[in-house]
Amino acid sequence: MRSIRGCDEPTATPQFEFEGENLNQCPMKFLKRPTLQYLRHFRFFQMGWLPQEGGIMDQTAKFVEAMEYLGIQFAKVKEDAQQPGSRAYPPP
Amino acid sequence: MAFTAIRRDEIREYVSPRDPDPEKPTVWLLGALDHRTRTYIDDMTTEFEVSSSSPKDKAKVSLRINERNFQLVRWGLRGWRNLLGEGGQELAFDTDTVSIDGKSYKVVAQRLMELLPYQVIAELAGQVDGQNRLSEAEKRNLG
Repeated sequence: MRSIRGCDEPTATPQFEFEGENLNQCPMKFLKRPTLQYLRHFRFFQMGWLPQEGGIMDQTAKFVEAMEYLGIQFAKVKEDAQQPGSRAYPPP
Repeated sequence: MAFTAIRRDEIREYVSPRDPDPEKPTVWLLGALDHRTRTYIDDMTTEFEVSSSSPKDKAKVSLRINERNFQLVRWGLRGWRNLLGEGGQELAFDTDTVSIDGKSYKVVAQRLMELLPYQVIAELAGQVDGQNRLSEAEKRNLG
């Protein structure tokens, strides 16, 4: 699976499309470490698990901003995925 | 490790490119602000004025920039190394305890804030502000 997706080496033919551009590498390779951490926490955030003790006011300002921003982005992807003929995958 | 500001105890070390002693520069320890503090500083330093005769007009926004810089540094600066005071002695970092909505925080002692030059406060405030917001590059990577 890793070789098909281009996780280690670029694939001979593009396997993914992002914003109209064909990619012959796994899209995850373009994500920076903080982005991966925010994405990981977003799933916890949706389940109500926060990284710091206390409520939302006790979380860092940047974390709250990142969760709000990701919420908007996932909502957009979900909306796009519902359009007829869309190739976008609905978010989990 | 990258400074993600997911946890309040994360610290980023910052050295000013304008430090007068590049051999032994002052290292500033800058921290993450929580959401309560950020909104407290925003509310304290921003005013919106809406015209009562034309309420649909755009609101006039006033930003008290110096007060904002002062507060960002007071709440975001967590320590330092190699900061020399009068007489060339290293200045010890110290804090005051302040509360917002009943929650206690340790912030830079007022007497120490008064020793920091205006330009230093402005520069550090820019760093604290920047590291506590999503940058455009981070938004592109998240989006």
